[in-house]
Amino acid sequence: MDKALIPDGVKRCPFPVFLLWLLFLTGLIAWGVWAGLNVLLKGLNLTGLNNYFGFGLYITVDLGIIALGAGAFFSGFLFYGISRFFPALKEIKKIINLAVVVGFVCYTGALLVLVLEIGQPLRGWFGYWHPNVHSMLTEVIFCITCYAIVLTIEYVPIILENKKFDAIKPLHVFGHSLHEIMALFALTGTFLSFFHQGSLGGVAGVLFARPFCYRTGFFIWPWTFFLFVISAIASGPAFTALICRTMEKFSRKQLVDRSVYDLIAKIEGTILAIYIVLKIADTLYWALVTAPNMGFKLTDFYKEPYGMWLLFLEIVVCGIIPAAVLLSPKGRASNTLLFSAFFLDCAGIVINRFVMTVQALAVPVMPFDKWEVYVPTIYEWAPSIAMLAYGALIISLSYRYLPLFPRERELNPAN
Amino acid sequence: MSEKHSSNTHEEHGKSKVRYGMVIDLDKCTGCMACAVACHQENNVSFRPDETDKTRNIAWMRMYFLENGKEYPEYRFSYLPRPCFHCDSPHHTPCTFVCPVNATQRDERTGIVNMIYPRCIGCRYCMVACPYHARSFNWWDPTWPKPLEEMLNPEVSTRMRGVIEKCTFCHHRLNKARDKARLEGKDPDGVEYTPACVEACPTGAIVFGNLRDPESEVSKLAKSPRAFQISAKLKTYPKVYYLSKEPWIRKLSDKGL
Amino acid sequence: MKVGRRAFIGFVAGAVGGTLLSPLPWKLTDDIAIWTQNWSWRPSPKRGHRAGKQTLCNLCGGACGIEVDFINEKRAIYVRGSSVNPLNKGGLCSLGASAVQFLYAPYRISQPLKQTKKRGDISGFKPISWQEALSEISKRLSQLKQEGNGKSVACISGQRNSSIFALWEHFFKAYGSKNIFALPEETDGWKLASMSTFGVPEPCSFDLSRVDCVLNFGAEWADNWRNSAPMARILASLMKEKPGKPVVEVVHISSRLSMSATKAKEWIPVKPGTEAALALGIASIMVKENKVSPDVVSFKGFKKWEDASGKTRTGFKELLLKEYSPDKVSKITGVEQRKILELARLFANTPRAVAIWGSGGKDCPNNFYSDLAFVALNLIKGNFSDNGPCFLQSDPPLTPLPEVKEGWSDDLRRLDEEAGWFFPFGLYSNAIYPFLDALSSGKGYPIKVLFIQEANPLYVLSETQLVRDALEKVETIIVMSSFMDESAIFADIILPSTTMLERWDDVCNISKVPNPIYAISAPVMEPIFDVKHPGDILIQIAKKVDEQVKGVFPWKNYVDFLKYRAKGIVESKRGAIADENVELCSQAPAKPNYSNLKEFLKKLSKGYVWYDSPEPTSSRIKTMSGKPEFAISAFERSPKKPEKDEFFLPAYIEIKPAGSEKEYPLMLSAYSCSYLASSYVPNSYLMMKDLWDFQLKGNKGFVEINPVTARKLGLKESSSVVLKTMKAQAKVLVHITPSVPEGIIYVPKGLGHKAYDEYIKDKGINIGDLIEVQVDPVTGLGIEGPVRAQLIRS
Ligand SMILES: Nc1nc2c(c(=O)[nH]1)N[C@H]1C(S)=C(S)[C@@H](COP(=O)(O)OP(=O)(O)OC[C@H]3O[C@@H](n4cnc5c(=O)[nH]c(N)nc54)[C@H](O)[C@@H]3O)O[C@H]1N2
Ligand SMILES: Nc1nc2c(c(=O)[nH]1)N[C@H]1C(S)=C(S)[C@@H](COP(=O)(O)OP(=O)(O)OC[C@H]3O[C@@H](n4cnc5c(=O)[nH]c(N)nc54)[C@H](O)[C@@H]3O)O[C@H]1N2
Ligand code: SF4
Ligand code: SF4
Ligand code: SF4
Ligand code: SF4
Ligand code: SF4
Ligand SMILES: [Mo]
Repeated sequence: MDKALIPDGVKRCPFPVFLLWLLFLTGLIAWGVWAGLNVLLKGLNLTGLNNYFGFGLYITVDLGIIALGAGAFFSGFLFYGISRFFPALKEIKKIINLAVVVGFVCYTGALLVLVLEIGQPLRGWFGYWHPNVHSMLTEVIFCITCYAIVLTIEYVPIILENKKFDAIKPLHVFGHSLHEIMALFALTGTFLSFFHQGSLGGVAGVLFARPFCYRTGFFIWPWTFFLFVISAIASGPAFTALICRTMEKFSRKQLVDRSVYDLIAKIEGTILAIYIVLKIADTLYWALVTAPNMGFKLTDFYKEPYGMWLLFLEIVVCGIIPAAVLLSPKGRASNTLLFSAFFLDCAGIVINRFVMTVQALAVPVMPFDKWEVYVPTIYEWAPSIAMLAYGALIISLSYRYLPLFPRERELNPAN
Repeated sequence: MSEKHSSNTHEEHGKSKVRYGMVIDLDKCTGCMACAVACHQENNVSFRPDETDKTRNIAWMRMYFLENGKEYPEYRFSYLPRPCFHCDSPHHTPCTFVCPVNATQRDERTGIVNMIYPRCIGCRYCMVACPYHARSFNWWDPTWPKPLEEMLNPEVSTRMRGVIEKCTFCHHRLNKARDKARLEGKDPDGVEYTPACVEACPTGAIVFGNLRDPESEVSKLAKSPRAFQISAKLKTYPKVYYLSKEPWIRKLSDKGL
Repeated sequence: MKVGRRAFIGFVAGAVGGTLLSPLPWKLTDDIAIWTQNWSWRPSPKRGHRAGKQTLCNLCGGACGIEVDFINEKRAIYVRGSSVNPLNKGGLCSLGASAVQFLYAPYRISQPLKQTKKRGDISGFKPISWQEALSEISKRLSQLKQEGNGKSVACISGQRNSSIFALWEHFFKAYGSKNIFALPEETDGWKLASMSTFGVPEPCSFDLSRVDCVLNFGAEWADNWRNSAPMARILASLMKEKPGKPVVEVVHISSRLSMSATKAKEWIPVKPGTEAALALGIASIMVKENKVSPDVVSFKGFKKWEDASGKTRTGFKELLLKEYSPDKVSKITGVEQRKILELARLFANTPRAVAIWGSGGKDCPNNFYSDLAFVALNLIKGNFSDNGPCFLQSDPPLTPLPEVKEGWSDDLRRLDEEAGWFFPFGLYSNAIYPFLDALSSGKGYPIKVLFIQEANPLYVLSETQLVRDALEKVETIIVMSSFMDESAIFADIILPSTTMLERWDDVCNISKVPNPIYAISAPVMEPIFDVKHPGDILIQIAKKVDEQVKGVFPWKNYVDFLKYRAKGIVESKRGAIADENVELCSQAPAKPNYSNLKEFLKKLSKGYVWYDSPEPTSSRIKTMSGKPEFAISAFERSPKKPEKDEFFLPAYIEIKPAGSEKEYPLMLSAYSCSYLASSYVPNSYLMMKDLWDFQLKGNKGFVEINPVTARKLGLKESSSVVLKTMKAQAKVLVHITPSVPEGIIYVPKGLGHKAYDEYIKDKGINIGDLIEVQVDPVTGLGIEGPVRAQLIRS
């Protein structure tokens, strides 16, 4: 039915099956939209947020998704930026389109959820109009918007590669010209993304009266600024790879060369190792110097349900272990180990974002204050899940109708 | 709490003559909550049929419950009324530092941390930043059952759903006092005025005034050996001081004491 | 027309570009943001000029000076304390600060109503006109009077400290009924203790401005010791360090660690209800160590004494030495002997040491002997000497009411007497519980008409079921109330009254303050509804009953009546109007600073207070011996005499609650908080806001329980339990706190209303439902001691 739109020489599942899948995703999205509209109409009282937990699931999902979306900027940086110096990085080309789509999905999705997150979404634009230059959130607002625009611009030429669009001469020319200057956007994106990943880290790190979050500074930024940047690039490409692998499993086809995964694993392993060393150093300094100066012991910060196990999980299980696996040739050779390591890597970063936003707020600061617990409601889960479904939808459509993987035809010659 | 923090004279902020501040004597406070009622009455703070979820309700002046941790009959307790501390940390308060839209700022002429509700986008970053939970979010549309709307004070705008609010040191009363001073040909800077909570307190436990005026009662009390700030180690430099002679209360003023 | 694909794309692109470049989207975005700043459903208080009007708060029967802020002289928006008033000197309490919330409360009654369905059905109320209502009532009253059935009319008033109570008494005297009651107060008992000791039914009061030591036996001044704002001010100032003066030693004696206890310099925990034993123990040591005031020796009953029948009886001295030795008192109270000695010496050796006492914050009478014990301790210390610190309250010299010639006949008896209750002090007693008991059990004679004036007996009184049963028996209940409270819902006719800010009232004397006080609460605005002052209603009705009653009601209206009363003060040329510099009590005799009634009233209506210096006790004593008496002389003339000698003297009487210890292993008691209203006026909206989440969570109330008791019962914080007493049971949550002793559980007063609106109704439990009242056999007053209870896990 939709043959005309499917790229030449590749096989896709039958249209009805695809339609069912789309229906399923749309259902999830509709559920999320319904919940989101309710929140917009009736207010944030529908959520599990309160005056202790000003931040919750929405922000965790935003921060997590933005960190994982960093695959786009970092892959772009590797390919467009430095592959001419390190030819081995040219391999990235085979997955760069997917990285861009994933990035686009993550950033646009995050922006949508952000609209729900603020109490006065119709005034959201005040962030541009009355910016407070000291606020990390101002930086985040500016950078995310700009980067979402950049990602859109990066996504457009991929869309225009669709058979039908490509047949239209001016669009073909337009798309081609965009491709030519993509390096410029990619590098702009890299710059923007670097900053806002950092400022997201800064969001927590500058809270100088919140001993769980506060980190002393390096230059004008707190340590979390840099940790967030590094952790994002230590997980973004891994996330892209995980998605790619998932698509391979779904489509029962090989979409990229195994060498791509191997390359990503080496890069991610190295960065994750660097990150985890810095994170441990940061944690130690915080636990031994920063927090005690504010009167806190490490044990003050951990209490059920947000116990010490979170710290262990984040640093050891989702940090040291995946880094070791990714750095060892044996680990990389085994698909199971490799993708488990990617998964742990991503999970660790999400845990980090959760801990820095939600657990941080559970910790009472005044000595006579209470430890509070946050339970998100369905009105938070639904839009968050819908956002993931929206990502799956865009990726599915892109995969079906756009030539995302340059090597797909060669790798699956039977078709 | 180290001497260094508690003896902060709020001098580092420009040249203005005033730094409004407050001292609350916990030894005198009987926890009658008249201060909170008066504050919420004066400032049109809304209420709902169920106000028992203290993590969701709006309170500008909120009571905290302090206990000495012992068993009967050694047990003792105290209430601690908590307005916004109008933190005086150099450069910025924890909350104003982070507001992306400048909807909350510290007026450097007075030291008062204010809120511009019509500008607030409700991101709650300031609330997260404030360690004292002085900020409340409007989770619901504020409503008053009829005919209670009649009692609303027009000098203080009612807030809308989705924005943050908090104690303003009754800023509108300062503005009135300044207007009056101007009309009388006096210097409006450094005028004295009385916030609602101070006015209400039957025991005189709350004293308000200019911390920079060495002759004011508030600045003298702030230097009393009984004086302390809450969580002074955070270096937020609260302009609200507490007084108590009880060692166990003083111990609860900061972590790690 | 055929549009090419290219043209279409071009058009779309152009349209998008054009729109973005036009001001339209930007303007719209801006407009939408502006809209969020002016949501029409967000109330916009109308602007205008803000200015204050001075008057007086009497919400608790007190007399704090207040200033009410108005917008354009119309809308009342805020209440502050006024510093011209020597009682509160600027501050107020949470109730006073809430005054405008009661004014505009949605549960206010805006017009007269008549029940057309079953009693208690709120949907059955139909508006009637004032004229209809009043003529119906006065017709019924004149009919009853004509039938010689005047005694079947009764009244429960909630305003005892204002002249309206005197007006009710006047009316009942003229009309021919003795069934006039007020809601119980702690000082009901104090009056009778004074009656016994001094021969005058005036409660004891204290000059706390010049004391150096206070032994406080359960006077919960920081929780609820009327009147809260002045009491909090006075006692908190005792704790203040003043240069060159030692801090006043305030020792608090109680079983529960109340706010007042935690504020005290020292807290002496005692077994519940044994405070009086400790007082007697202290007295005993003073006697033993010869530290008693010398004149005491000559007071009747101190030494061996002879009663009217000539029988020699044990003296107080002997009783103290025998029954209240430190070891015995230690056993009763649980206080170490060493501590008792220490307290006794502190009290005896501090020149100005005073013993104050209360009912543990419950504001209900103590048992008679216990009040006597505290009076006795002060007597022994010599505290009733002419310059205090203890005084008997004396009334301001108000004009006496016109003499009632044909009033109460000799055989006229109050319902409780008619029903067979007898109390030695019954004549002076506010015996409301015996009255209700007689009513509910159908003894005596039926009550045809019951007025309930600004009282809410169905909530405020304990044993709610008894009250309900009693009211059921009344033929017609007429409620004068501003609010649709529990009792108003139970009315047959509701006569809505004005609230404090809309009306004239006066206040005669302030609990615990030794100076005679007169103050006026003037209206600061017109009534916002079609409502009337109960005093105006009463005068109108009185004039219609018959000529005889009309004859002793010469006033046009209530204001006229107040002027008539106040004239007496002006004519007496006594006392003075206080200004902000006046400290009550410690005054040199006040010199009149007013010249005529007009000026006097004008000043008073601005929140100023008339006061006089306290009258020396020696000039007030009206006992047969002309001196204070330890012996309870009333018994000598009483048909019901106690057997044992000790019952003729101040004593510690253990009150045994009903029920089996096995079934009900715990003891339940009520307590009060300064931020909870448990009287006629309910908690305001903003008071409900501030309530602790360990006192109310959602609609669930809490029972407070000691950690050890909780452990024994396997209860955790916030566990759900059923609290059961012999009277009733209720679902509550558990709050574990070391402020309460083992085995005793507490519930705060002021919650659990079944009326008003969703902000107040059904929130928490009314402890009154669960408490059993014991009627004091000497006074007839209802004592709300601890009752047996059990907690069942649910
Ligand atoms: N209910 C009601 N609504 C009205 C009107 C009315 O009469 N009644 N009048 C209308 C008219 S004429 C007008 S002009 C508008 C006014 O409307 P707004 O300008 O919205 O006026 P306000 O709400 O009084 O104050 C705005 C905000 O400024 C903050 N603020 C106060 N002082 C300062 C300060 O020194 N610095 C900063 N940055 N902020 C400060 C206050 O906290 C408040 O949040 O309202 C209109 N709406
Ligand atoms: N304390 C305090 N004072 C303020 C302000 C504040 O925020 N706080 N805000 C200031 C500001 S921004 C403003 S704009 C002013 C507003 O101050 P005013 O201009 O005094 O505004 P209003 O109080 O609305 O009074 C307007 C009068 O016009 C009458 N009126 C209404 N409609 C009509 C009409 O059609 N014709 C005529 N002839 N009369 C009409 C109304 O009944 C009312 O008496 O207040 C200023 N004063
Ligand atoms: S107390 Fe909180 S809200 Fe107030 S100034 Fe300090 S940080 Fe800001
Ligand atoms: S919630 Fe409002 S005041 Fe607070 S940071 Fe966000 S925009 Fe600023
Ligand atoms: S200063 Fe004003 S706003 Fe702040 S707590 Fe007191 S009354 Fe409320
Ligand atoms: S009004 Fe005064 S005494 Fe009452 S709670 Fe507030 S500070 Fe304490
Ligand atoms: S103590 Fe009584 S008179 Fe004084 S403000 Fe409170 S309610 Fe009013
Ligand atoms: Mo205006």
